[in-house]
Amino acid sequence: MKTLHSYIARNLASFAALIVGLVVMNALVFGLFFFDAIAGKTREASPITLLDSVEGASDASGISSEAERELRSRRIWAMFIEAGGDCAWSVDLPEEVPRHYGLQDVARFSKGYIADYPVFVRTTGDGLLVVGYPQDSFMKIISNYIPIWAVRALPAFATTMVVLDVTCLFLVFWFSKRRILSGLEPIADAVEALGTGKAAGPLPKGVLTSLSESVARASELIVKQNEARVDWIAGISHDIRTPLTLIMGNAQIIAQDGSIAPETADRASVISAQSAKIDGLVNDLNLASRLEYDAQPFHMAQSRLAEVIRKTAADAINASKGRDFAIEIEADGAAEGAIVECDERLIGRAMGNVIQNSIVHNPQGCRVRINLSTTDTDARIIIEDDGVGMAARELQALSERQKRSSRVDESLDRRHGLGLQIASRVVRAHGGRISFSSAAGGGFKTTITLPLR
Amino acid sequence: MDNSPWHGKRLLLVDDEPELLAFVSDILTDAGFTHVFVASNVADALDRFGEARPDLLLLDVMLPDGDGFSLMRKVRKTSDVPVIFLTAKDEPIDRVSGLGLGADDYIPKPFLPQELLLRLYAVLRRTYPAGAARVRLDFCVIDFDKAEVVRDDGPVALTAKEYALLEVLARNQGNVVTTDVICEALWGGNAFGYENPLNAHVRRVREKIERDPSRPVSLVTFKGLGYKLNTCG
Repeated sequence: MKTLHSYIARNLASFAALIVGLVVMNALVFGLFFFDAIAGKTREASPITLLDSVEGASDASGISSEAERELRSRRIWAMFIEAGGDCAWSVDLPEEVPRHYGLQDVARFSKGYIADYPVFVRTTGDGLLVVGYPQDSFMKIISNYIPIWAVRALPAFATTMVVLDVTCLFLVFWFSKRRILSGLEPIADAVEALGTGKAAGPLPKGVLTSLSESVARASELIVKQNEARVDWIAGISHDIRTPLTLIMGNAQIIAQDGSIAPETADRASVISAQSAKIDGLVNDLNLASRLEYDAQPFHMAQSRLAEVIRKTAADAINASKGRDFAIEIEADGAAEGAIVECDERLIGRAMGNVIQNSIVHNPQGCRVRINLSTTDTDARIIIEDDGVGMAARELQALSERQKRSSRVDESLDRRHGLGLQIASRVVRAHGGRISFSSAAGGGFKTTITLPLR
Repeated sequence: MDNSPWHGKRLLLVDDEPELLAFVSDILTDAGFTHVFVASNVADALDRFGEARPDLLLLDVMLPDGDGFSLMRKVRKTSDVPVIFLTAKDEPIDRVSGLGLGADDYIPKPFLPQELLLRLYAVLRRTYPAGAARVRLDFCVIDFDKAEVVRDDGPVALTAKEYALLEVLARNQGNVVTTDVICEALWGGNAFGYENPLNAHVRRVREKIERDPSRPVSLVTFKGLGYKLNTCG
């Protein structure tokens, strides 16, 4: 999901830049397009300039021929109305334009049109100078008045509108982002889960239904494959038990037959012991695969940890007949009564694997000390042997495997340490922690911490 | 412990693997059982059950025409015969459903002949306690029938708690039994905090069964863990 969030954050920044760019561009285009019409007022071709030049080149009696030519070339007519209202002189005055004007006429055309010709008027000392432009050249706004408060409010209003627009755009962006995210989030999580070989959770319907459906199909496929795998391993571990029973049992019978040669009896003992190892291996493999693919049911119950430890230790001693191996258990009063919510059998298996590891790696024999203590929140089990210990490099490899043991294929590939990996998986599944250490002088120490109820 | 009193009990063994069937019935016959019957499927087993009236069933869970659990349910309608499951399945759910139905024990494959016999005798002893039980130790013999210890200098009586203590250890002879299991046998379920009274009982038992109670060889301590009864022969 992180990648998705940063992707959206990057998008947000570029979206903001886009909006600023758009505003600047709009202003520029607007300015360029209307610059001529607005700034043109002061230029040569504008009515104001024309009136100035015509006024300078004429008086009540007439107009200079040069100015007259200039007007004609631009198809503009002109006339001079004297104080009495009669036209004193004119240039190209159209037919439909009257030659005499009363007060009302002047009031009507002074700001607007005469016979649809836009006209511009200049008051001189003795009359009115009027120039008329072609009919479609200018639009004159006759009633242009605006309340002064509106004019004053204009800058604030414009700014507010821009801010409002930008906010709207952002909101739209934000909500569409949220919508896409809420659709994408479960899918991204699902794909992440698929990446670790796990099944994806339920996917919502929505804008991305078809995408969800393909992820769901992939997930289903993985679930089926995982199930097939668990079943396959479970099937092998089931089927191998009957032949193992026959091998181990017959070997034991031979080993204990007093009438055979001692060497033969020893060989039979080896067969029996090695078959027991195969059984342990198959059990580990089966449990590891079940834990990996969440096919292992946890039967949680309130358990007295000291009792579980004793049972595990007794089982280990009872199974290790004839080996130089001893277990001592220490638990103070508070620890003796410590109750932990756990699957007794699996926690027992985890500790049993740790003890088994000490036995296997110390064929010359060893003593195992188990110490149970408690804090306010946790129960701590330390399982420590006085054997050969584990080389630093091997220890490193073990803790690394522990870190990335979400990939079962890797851990299943390596038989060595599968028992300890199962132990750490089980402990972590109970919300606990496990760590392994080995001193330079030997000895292997496992610390398991489990939360008290 | 002398197990011959139970060798006349009739056992019905049900498993679909012919090799395993032959192997287990050999173990039973070699151990001294005189009436061992076999069946390889549910229908066969029900027929045999009617004819042979066995005193104990050894059942496989997976059978070609059904499963051991439903077979046990059928049998239990008319009889209280003890049932031990022999199965390759060792998942807890199976264990729970087996014992929940009233199975007497559950032995996961692969198992060793000795283990099978030990657990079989334990169930027989519990179900048919009439048989005499004597356990020979280094210094004495425990006679569970008379609840006494037979020593060279004469019999010494056992109290009820001492009897229960020796009984649970003898049932698991040669194996360490945790204090939790012993306390449960002596004082009932959830016996927590009985370590001190247990120590006292152990001390008194040692005075009766050990040559030198301060250096025990028959009832040995596993510190912080439990006790073990070492038997002879």
